[in-house]
Amino acid sequence: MKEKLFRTDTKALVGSVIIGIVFLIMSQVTGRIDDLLDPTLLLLNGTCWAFFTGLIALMYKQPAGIIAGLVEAIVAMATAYSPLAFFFLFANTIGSLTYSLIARNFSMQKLSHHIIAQIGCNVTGNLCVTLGLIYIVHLDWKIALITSALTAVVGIVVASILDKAVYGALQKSALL
Amino acid sequence: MALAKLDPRTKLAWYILMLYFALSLQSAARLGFVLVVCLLASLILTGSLKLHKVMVVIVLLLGLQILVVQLIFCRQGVLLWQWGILKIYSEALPLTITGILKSTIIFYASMQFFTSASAQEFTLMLIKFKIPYRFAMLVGLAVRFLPLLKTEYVSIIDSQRTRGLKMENVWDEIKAILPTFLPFLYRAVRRSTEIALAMELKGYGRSASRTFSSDLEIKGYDVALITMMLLVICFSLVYRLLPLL
Repeated sequence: MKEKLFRTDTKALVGSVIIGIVFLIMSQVTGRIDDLLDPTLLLLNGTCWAFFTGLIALMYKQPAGIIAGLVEAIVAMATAYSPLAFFFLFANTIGSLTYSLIARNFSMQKLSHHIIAQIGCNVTGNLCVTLGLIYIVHLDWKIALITSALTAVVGIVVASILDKAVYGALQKSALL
Repeated sequence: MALAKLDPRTKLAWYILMLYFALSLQSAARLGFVLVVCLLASLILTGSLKLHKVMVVIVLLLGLQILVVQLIFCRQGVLLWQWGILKIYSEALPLTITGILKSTIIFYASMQFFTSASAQEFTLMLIKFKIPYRFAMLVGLAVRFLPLLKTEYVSIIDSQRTRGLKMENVWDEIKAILPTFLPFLYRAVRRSTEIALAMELKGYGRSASRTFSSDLEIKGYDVALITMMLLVICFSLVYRLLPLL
């Protein structure tokens, strides 16, 4: 049986904003570390993005996932934390929607379920970032595609493991 | 201050116009002109550019990121210098400048728009766009909780440091992400549950519509400005698309 795609109760709406701010703060922290270590690949930041996009979509479903993504992208644009911030609007929205559409077909009890959902989320989200790398940073499309693919691979593996662990812990804690 | 008199919808139209130019223009000279216009608009409407001093440092950091990327990956133009696999081509600098100008316009226009009105004005603007108030009012919530959660994260870092967590270099900071982030996330989830309950107890979402203490009224000059900006976008699109037809 398919899970519900939408959830519009107050808890989900407020949660989307609050967890969206947590997402934003953690993105800024990991983004600054990435600037020092791997300014082109953004492995930590990409993983953080994938993890939060998945977690929020699992916890509060839609439109909470989109709202949290928009909060992160809008503040990223206004604080200039990345030259690609404008493309985060699309990456966060499309990535979250894709994750929800895939996740609703699974129980999300197994790691493989999380990996499948993260593949969809990372591929669509990182494609938007690839467009940003081409239009804003003026990278060659092949290089842009390779760097995005690397970020996506790391994001899929690490974010799936983290999502399973953290979402499981949150379900057990009865905080959701 | 003239800026306060403008309707948020006019500011939104200006923001869209700037984004359109930042994404559609390709030459550094044109992008530079758009940035100057953007700065002049700020100067005319607010009377000062003092607030934007901080922007210089941020733009420099942003520029540095783009420069590093271009120096590593740019393969256009003539090879100027080579050291092992690192090759620097002549087109790296012009492309960096264009990239910096595009990012600066997007960042500056975003900063201009999001600092130009209060959270309530943004909420009212969303209401005017027929967005249900349960969603529109989340703007105020985000503005209120951003500094609070930031302070909470700093206090979690401090308490973990007191317990002996090292944060002296980048490697330490990477190792500190999980021990600081997990308590932060769980506290945020608990806080959101409490806030949602408090809001529902105060009647949030009970009725389909609600009243506000103030309202937005679009003036004649706002309509004229929005029309002008939309016409500029339309003419520009037609000018671009005509050679293709």
